[in-house]
Amino acid sequence: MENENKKVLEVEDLRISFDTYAGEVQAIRGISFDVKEGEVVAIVGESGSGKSVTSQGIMKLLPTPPARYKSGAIRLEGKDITGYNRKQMEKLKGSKMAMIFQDPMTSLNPTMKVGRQIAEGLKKHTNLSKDKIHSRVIELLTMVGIPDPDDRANRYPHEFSGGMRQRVMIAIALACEPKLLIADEPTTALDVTIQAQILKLMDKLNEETGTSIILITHDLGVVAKMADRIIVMYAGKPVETGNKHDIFYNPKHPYTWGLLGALPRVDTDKKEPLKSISGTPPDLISPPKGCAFANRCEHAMEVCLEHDPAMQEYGEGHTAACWLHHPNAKEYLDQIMEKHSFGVGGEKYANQNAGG
Amino acid sequence: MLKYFFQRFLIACVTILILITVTFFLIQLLPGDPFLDPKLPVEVKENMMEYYGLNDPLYMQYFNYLGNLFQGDLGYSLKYKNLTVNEVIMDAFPKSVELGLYALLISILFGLTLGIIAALEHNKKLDFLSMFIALIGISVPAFIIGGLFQYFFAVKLHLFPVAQWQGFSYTVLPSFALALGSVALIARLMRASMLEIVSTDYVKTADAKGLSRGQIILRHQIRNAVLPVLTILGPLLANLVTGTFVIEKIFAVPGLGKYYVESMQTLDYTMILGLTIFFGSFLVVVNLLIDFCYGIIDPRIRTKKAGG
Repeated sequence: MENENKKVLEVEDLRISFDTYAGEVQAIRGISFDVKEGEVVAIVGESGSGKSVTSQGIMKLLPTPPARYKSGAIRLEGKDITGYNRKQMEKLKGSKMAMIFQDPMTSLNPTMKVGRQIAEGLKKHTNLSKDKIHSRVIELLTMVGIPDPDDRANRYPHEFSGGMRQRVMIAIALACEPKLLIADEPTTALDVTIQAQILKLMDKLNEETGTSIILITHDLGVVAKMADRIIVMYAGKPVETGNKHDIFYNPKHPYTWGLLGALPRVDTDKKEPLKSISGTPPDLISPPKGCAFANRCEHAMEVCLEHDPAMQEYGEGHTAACWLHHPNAKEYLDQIMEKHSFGVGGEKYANQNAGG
Repeated sequence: MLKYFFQRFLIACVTILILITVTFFLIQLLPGDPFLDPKLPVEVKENMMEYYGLNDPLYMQYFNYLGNLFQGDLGYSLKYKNLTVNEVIMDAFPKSVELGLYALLISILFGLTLGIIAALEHNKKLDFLSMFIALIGISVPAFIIGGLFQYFFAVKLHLFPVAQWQGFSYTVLPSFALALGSVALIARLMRASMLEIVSTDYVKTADAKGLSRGQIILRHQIRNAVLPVLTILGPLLANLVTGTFVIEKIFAVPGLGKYYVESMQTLDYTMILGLTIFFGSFLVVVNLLIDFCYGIIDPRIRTKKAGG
């Protein structure tokens, strides 16, 4: 039990902006979370909500400038790495924390043999001999489920399919047994059957190696399968966090309701159009002073436009930032809850996926 | 791999055959004939026409020419006494090649360096400096560069001889003068290509592995960035080796350029044809070699059955 509570990563009030000609884009406007050993934390949100910037910000992969760390702290295994320079980060990247990207078709160097691309990180971070590195490469390829690894290691990326390439990416990331694996939409560019395989593989590796995973995705189905904890992000800020149960059965924030409602359902006979959340996210050059979601929220109240709601706790680890749950809005909330039954939708969806 | 090479080779052969045919008949469309000198008595002219087979029907001339060509015989020049086109090429081409190769080496060396520096220092002083040099290289014509080089490095500084072709030191100024345009071309291409690759996903992957900046640049950026540059090396080499008339004239290099221009002015049929075929084949062969190099550097091209 002691081990489970060890925090691999702590992020505290991280704020990242991009300086552009049009002005300062506040991509991340304050996010705090931590990742415990062996845990899978999912960050969910639509395009532009700051998921990727968060993940690349933790790895310090963002070019600075234009990116700028405004405030906050990042701690890896208790060590503050916020102020680390490039040289210091090089020792951590690939060894303590690793990352896989969205599009496996473009994430591998087309002119370098796959085996060498996996070996690169090992060469950098370990003192293994050439033979040892080679056998480790073969071991990794076997681990991620690539058949005939001896032959495959000597091949170029274009001789692999998309799913195979993503497996190679996972092998590269896991080469030095990192404590933390950040997966930035690892299945978005893959077709559905391959998606399932890759997720299963990541799930298996998470269990076997104990590597913690931050899973960035906009696909709640992916989250339902894997995540221990979920962070729903909107306009550069988390709007709701909680475990799988909290988010799917008892969501508090209208944006989470929207995301759950927008999931396609296979369990109803009713022919109804797919639901969507109308409108677009706010301009992050001049974010609204109230709740960022207010202009798209069908339940928005006057207070939402004026004041940004603070994170409130609704159970252990379940937090949300929404005025609807303020005691003064109780009657209004009850009316809304009567009309819709959000929990049910999520429940159905969670069950449907748990089976698959 | 072998199939790929064979395929390319076959295409090259067809290209050369088409080149020969088109050139042969295009020349015949030019008004006049090689013996336009008004002082030439009509009888002599007739004799000459007969002697060189120019009175034969066109198709016969064509097949005769092809027949000779397959034996490697480009025929006698119609203007120079007792000089075959083969002899002219044998004598003058090595000098043009030497000059062109030096220029190519200079272009690659300086072009790539400038391009890489410019890309790494994107939007900083060195970038602007490199691109300024490139701009000059592209926009200032060769005869001005040649003249300036002669004035400063030969007349004023006495570093190199002004002109002539008598040893290595004589090659330096014309090579650099000839190379400047290509240096600029390669530098700009390399810079653009490097900048494109900086933002690719695989460079990000390399970064996420914890590689140092130098390792990323060397192993992941440059090799991929060089591919587009490699494509233009073929035409560039052909250009440098053949299109050097101005530079050869300024620096008094006894290369092929002179003959090419003169033959056009005097309608020296065999010389025009011979040189065109020679240059054309040269270009095709160089491109063929570049294609092979491409196959070696870029694994994706070797096998056409790319997997997904």
